[in-house]
Amino acid sequence: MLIIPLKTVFSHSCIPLSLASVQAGFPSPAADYAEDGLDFNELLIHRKAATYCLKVTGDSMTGAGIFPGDILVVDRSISPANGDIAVAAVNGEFTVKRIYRTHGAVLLRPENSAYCDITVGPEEDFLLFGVVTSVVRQLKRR
Amino acid sequence: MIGLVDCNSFYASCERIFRPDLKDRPIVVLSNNDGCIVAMDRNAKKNGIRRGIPYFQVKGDLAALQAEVFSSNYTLYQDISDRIMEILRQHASRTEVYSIDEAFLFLDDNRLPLFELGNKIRRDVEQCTGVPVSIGFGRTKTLAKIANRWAKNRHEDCGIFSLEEQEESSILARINVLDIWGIGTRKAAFLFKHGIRTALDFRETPEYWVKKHLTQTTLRTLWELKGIPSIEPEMATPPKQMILSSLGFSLPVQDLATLETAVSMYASSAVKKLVKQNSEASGVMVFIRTHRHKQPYFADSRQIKLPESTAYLPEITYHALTGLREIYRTGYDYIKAGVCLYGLSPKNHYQHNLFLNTQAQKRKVTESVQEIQSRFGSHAISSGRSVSGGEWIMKQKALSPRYTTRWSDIPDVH
Repeated sequence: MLIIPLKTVFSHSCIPLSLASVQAGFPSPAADYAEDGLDFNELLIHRKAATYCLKVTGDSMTGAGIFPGDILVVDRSISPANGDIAVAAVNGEFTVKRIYRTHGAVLLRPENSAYCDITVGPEEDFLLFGVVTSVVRQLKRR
Repeated sequence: MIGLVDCNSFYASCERIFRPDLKDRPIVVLSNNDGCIVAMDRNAKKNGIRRGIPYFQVKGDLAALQAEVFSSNYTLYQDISDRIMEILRQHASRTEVYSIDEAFLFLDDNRLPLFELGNKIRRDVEQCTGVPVSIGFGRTKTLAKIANRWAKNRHEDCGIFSLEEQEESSILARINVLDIWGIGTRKAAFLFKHGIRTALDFRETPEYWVKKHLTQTTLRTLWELKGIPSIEPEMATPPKQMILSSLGFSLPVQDLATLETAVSMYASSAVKKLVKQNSEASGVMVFIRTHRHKQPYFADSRQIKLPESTAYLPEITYHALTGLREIYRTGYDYIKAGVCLYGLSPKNHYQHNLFLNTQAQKRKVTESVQEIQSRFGSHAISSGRSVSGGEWIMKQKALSPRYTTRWSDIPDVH
């Protein structure tokens, strides 16, 4: 932590605390054409109030390109279509799978041959959390 | 019509979003420092757990109920609240946030039947956040509040109630005056003494009598019950007249240096609130105390009148620390300290002392600090005295993760 004595910062000379750079010389000819940079929120989030992030800990969806450590962007406001990848709570635990609805039952299908389909009967404890819209994976961290 | 949306067992519902394993378990939430119960779900309430009870008194009962106990996670509750308010804004021409879990909706250009609209809002909020809400509609805010209460208590299954004008008399006759928004226990006792027991009795009370015996606010409540909107947003939540920042320590503190650090931090967070509501303070009060039921007991406070109203942190911190050093005595186990700012006035309305013309410069510093904190977080800049992370910081043993605001805390999925 950087510690600056208050006296030096707020001396009588009253230098404004400025965070922007100062420009001199000719104005840029491109200034009128400037746009905001690319915004990842705009790309990944459709309805902010309904969007949540979860971290993947298992390998049951590697076939769909979802690996342990990935961050899932989940939109709760979307109702899943058959075959969508969704997060649901089965018997009190969150799981990510492909979801299918077949007359009265819900089928959760992993994308890894080491795992079996989960059929959720009406008597089982099932809660849909939301539909996965994006996966964020960082390859190199600074 | 005006709608009032109220979240059901809000804190408990927030805790449940990311804990599907707690679907049927009772949930209680404790106050800052884990002292008392501040919130519980319906299940815990049904089992006799009440708000305000000291935690240690019901620890055994809660264990027997297999209740899940949480420290209050205000970061999570505020984020979920912001989400809900954002969703509500998409359903009404205008909204007014009344508290962390309540908002009024103004439905001037609504074309849907109210029950249908209510259902749509309920479904949307519950799907997007997982939090169930109740909705009441009425001609005024006070009537909407009554309708909401009715929805919660009598129509639990659907959670919606619309109080139509022709039904008002029959419903108001079944509401106790104490349950009217804006009528507190003292006013209710006074009304009871004069034979006014129900909301209908009160609505039929002559205006001159209310004017003579009660306040202007009560008169507004009367008009609202008659269907005349009379409560404006600024009346519902007046700016604070006093700002208090205080916490108990998790371990007793004996030495002055630690108390100084704590007091500086409280001064800083009080000033943050002061600046946020655009006010300045004319006085600072500082206090310290030991445990109320342990010997030796010691408590003292000092009030310092400032030379002129200010929101300048270094000055407020300086006076708070001066006061602290005056009241501090060695040899005690202090468990609580706090800073209170009083004599608040709006920033722009104050006549400045001609001979103390340092105000402009101080305001610039205050604004710059605020700017830095809003851009880089509240810990990016603070006065040199307060360093967070000390051992006396709030005791919160059962704090849930900040699921929605910290990358390190997002929930796991298998």
